[in-house]
Amino acid sequence: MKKLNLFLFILILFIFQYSVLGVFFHIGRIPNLFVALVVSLAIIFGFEKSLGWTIFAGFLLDVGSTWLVGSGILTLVVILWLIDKMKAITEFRSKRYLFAVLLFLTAGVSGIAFDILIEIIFRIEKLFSPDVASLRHFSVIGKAYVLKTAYTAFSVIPVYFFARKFPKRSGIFLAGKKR
Amino acid sequence: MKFFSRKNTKFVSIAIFLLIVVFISSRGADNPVRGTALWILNPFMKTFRIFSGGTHGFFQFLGSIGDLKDENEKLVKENQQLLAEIARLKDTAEENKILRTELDLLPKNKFDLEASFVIGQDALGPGSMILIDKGVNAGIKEGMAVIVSNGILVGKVRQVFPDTANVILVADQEGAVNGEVLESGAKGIIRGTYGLGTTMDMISQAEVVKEGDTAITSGLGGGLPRGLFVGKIGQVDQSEDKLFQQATIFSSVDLTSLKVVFVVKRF
Repeated sequence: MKKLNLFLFILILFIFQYSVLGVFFHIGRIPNLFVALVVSLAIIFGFEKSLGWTIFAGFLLDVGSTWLVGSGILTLVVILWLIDKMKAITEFRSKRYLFAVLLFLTAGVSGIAFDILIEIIFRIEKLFSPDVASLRHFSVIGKAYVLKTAYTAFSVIPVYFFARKFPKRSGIFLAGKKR
Repeated sequence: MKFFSRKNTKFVSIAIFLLIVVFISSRGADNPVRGTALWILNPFMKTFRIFSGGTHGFFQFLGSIGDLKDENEKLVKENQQLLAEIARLKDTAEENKILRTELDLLPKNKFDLEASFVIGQDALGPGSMILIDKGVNAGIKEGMAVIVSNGILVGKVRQVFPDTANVILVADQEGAVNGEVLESGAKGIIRGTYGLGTTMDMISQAEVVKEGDTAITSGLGGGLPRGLFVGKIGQVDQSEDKLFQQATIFSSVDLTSLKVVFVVKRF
């Protein structure tokens, strides 16, 4: 049942990302919910258990974009692996506010890392497929990009809140609660 | 060695596999997969898009109540001017019809349009791509112009699937079109600037372009029909040391709030 819930949650995130957020946010300021999801999954489940869900989320990410299928998946998998390396953040789960701040910062940095990685992948893809569009985010770093990163960082709080509900019988205990 | 742990080995093998997937996708193998996934998700995306558009409209209305009176007065005035212009244009249309008959010219064809709902937007790029709910099955092809009411160009079809299509907006760098300034006939290339606006570039220094002029599609190249409205000319960057002039274009359409668009299938 928890797998079905997580599957539906990722589908809902996809619909929100591509069909809902664009209505409420200006162009270029739309938060990246998939990065928020990957950060949450990495902290809750770790690398190996999150891998399948990350690949599924990355596939949906590619479906909704103009990118080649595989680009978004690869970027999210790399981010998942990098966050998993930062095991220290999980040690602070018992300190609620500090954990929230670390989560916020991790998501913000991951959002920037996502854009850098996807741009690198695009430039490599352009070598063997000239039709590939380049995002060129980094020519336009300004207020819009800062807001986008901030919104991505804020979005990790509700995404983490929902994602942590799924592992009901896992060994992960939540802040303030005892096993 | 620590690097070759089970986790890292798994990561490296998956990364290599995904690079192969990307390579295969670059050969067009991803189209059926993407088309099928979009076909399944299409109804949900449309429902959420319509619902969120309604919600956004409601909150926007609440926030704009204070400005409604002024805007109403402005619109009444504009309406009166437009009524006068319609009367003048009707006269011109009649004259045009008579001249065409006398010169034995064929009548101008009307566009063959396909109405489509906007069901999604490229949320992670510059935001200058939209997803519509019509595709190959509705006769849509790559390169077709996409307009909103009254012939205002918003973009062109970039990628087509069986029941959906990606439309690249004029505000995107890759959505460049051949343009013309209606008043002076100056030709140029209309292209977007990272999703934030539009400019007309490569205008000859010999041409006269003024603020307030009208930018339209020139029809050169045959890809798009001539005469689609793009926007009004704003600031003109005319510098002696540059080869060409450049002008910003202000669009009258809010590209972020598109609900229904029309694909020009034939012109």
